[in-house]
Amino acid sequence: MTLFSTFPISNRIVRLFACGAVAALSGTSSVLAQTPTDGIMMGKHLICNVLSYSNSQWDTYWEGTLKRQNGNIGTFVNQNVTAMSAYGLTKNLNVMAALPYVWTHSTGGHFSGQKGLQDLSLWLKYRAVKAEGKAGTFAAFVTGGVSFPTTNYIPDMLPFSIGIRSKTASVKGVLHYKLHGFYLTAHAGYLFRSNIHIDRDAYQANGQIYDTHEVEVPNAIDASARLGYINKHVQVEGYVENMTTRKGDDIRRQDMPFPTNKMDMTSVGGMAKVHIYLKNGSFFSLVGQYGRVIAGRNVGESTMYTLGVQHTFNVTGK
Amino acid sequence: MKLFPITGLALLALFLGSCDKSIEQASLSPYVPAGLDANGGQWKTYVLGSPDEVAVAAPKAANSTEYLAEIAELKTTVSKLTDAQKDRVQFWSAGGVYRWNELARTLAANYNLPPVYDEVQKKYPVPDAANPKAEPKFPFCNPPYASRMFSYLGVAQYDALVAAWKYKYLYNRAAPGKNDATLKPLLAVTDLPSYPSEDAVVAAASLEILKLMFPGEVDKLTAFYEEHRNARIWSGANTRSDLDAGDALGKAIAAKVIARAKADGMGAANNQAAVPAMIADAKARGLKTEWVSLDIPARPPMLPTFGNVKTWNFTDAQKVAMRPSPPPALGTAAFEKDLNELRGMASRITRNEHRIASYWSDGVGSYTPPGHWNREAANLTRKYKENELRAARTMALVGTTLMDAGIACWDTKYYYYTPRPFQVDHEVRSTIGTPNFPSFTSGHSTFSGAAATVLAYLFPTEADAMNALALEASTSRIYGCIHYRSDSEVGLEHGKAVGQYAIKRAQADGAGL
Repeated sequence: MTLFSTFPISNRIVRLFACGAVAALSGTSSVLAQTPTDGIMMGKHLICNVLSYSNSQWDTYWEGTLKRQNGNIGTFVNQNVTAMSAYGLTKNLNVMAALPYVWTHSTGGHFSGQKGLQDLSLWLKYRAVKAEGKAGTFAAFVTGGVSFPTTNYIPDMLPFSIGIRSKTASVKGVLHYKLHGFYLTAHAGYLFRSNIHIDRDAYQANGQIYDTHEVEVPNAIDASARLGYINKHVQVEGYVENMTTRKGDDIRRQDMPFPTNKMDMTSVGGMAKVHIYLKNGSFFSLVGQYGRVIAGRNVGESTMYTLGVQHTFNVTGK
Repeated sequence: MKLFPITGLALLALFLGSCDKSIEQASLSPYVPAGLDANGGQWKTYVLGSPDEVAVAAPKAANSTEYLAEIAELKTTVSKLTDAQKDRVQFWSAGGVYRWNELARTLAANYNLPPVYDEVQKKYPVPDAANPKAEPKFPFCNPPYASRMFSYLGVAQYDALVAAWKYKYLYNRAAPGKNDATLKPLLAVTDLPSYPSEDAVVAAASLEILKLMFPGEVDKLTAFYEEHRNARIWSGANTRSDLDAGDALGKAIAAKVIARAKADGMGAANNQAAVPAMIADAKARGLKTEWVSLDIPARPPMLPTFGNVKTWNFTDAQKVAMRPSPPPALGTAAFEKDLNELRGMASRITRNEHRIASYWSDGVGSYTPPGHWNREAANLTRKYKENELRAARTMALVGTTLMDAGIACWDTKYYYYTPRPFQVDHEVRSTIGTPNFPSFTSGHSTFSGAAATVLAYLFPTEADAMNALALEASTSRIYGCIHYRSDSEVGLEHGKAVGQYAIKRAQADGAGL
């Protein structure tokens, strides 16, 4: 993950695991993948299971708006293994779930890393509009998601914490246009993040002391645009995405990050996927992604890659 | 029909986006003090030679034209209060001693940031009191600095209030609400004489001390002080002459306390030139490997000569006499046992043990362990409904013992100069962050042992709770892998011995328990 582990993994990398479902399986003409923010749906009764590994690291970060390095961190490394599934309830309504195991460490300094199961994410994705014609295919989707922590991990030791334990609810709208295999997808979403409770009962934020365990976590808006090509065997894509918190304070000079911080970032990257078909009608996909944060505030200037394998099949055996 | 879910989700987004998540903090209600301590004017002061060392002129009589005009002004003011003014009256009704201590804790946290390494000069810059707003801001409010700041705040409030009590019961001017039954103050009126105002005394003394300790915050402090004074007018609790007399008294006594502060040796507490000799002396006494900074780049040790600063409740000779015996030497079986306990600790500790480490971390950006214990003390003054004078006594006793603990601990740390666990074994990584000074003894343990001992004495029904908190704070440093068990256990006992000296003083200060 690219942030100081503060967003549920769902929002950052799930889209990498695009569950490809193809015509051969679904019996439809759609050549599809599936994430909360893409333009693709799983066919009815298709299920896709994904296992992935992600590695994100930075040696430079933004302390507020000041870009700096810190010998007491050296290079910060955040890794995760994520299990994800997507299932087609109907051709226009999909359900998805993801759960990552995260571990962190730094190469410099004397801090201990942390590790553990992070947050479980669930989404429903609904295709509200689909129009096909000679000028291409247009579709519009809405997704609604929730996430919540699955373990009692420590949210108050950023950047080493594996997450911030906020429960989230998100709504996203996705517009998708495709012509001759080339596609353009754009999304915008709102992420509500609940306040959290930390072990300390007094802490500093916004220049004042709060005498409570409760910490306010700012909500966020996210958006992305991706341009790609997809066919039965491969998919390639380039993207730009942005996450902006609605409010929050800056990391103070030489202080640690904290869940109240305004954490904004813009990243760019690319993704490639190949499908390998089996005789039983199911197929495996291999996914790779590389991304990089190009602008940010109170976040690391991360470089991230993900490798994943996914298996897609029809649960009815058809 | 397809628009329905979109509309629904849009409404949901609107709903989620408009939720108010701002943190609500409990507002503190005023209380009628458990007692007024009418003999408080005779209590033993810290810096003042006697309670009447600063003179306060007699007030105008209750039937004088001047006083009646002041009462009339109060009546008009009280009848025209805005909601914002009422809110401030409510805020200050929690207690002046409490609120100024709370502000001091906030400033301590605001200023608890170590200087950033200067890549050009190739060194860590030292904060400059003459230029407090420039980076690195002055002060770096680390634990020793905070302990000293809180102690002077507590002492100035206490000495000023002892003097105020002296004159209150000498002149016996009743509260405005008692002098005129048609005045309806917002707060309960007690039999405590109102001249000079205890709130004005506290506001003035606190302002002067905190201006010295946080010279970059003069505007904020002055605004706080004016609001405190005004709240007493708005509430109908004090007339202007009550406040003016208290203000002059508080300022004059603060000046005497500041004179003590300027001569206590703090200016020489960061004598880095003394370090080589300290290391050589420690080695001559058997130290095998001296502590080195774990910060990158290596940072000069924090206030290496703070151990020489003037103590409050014991002498230098007593400090040396109670200095702990040396810790287990590197390589001995006892040392290995302590180190082995830390190996694998980070992945072995339970979630509750990690909670304890985090709860007591009190690291960078926090109000430090002295701030943590000031908070415990301040909360107890409210829980037991102490009047302003007795609350100030509690804060002064705890404040001075915390500074004494800091001095005694820093003396010990630099006397033995022992390495932190991570320095000896790089596998022992901390979950909370390793401070930049030698290991033995644990500062948290010493601070906590001292403060808990004093609070257990002052609040006997809280004794078990306080001692349990101190033990937890001490052990938290083992869970956090930044101290060996011997650092924590010896530090805790050392702190308790420090606390006993404050208790000796409390037993003889005329205030009873």
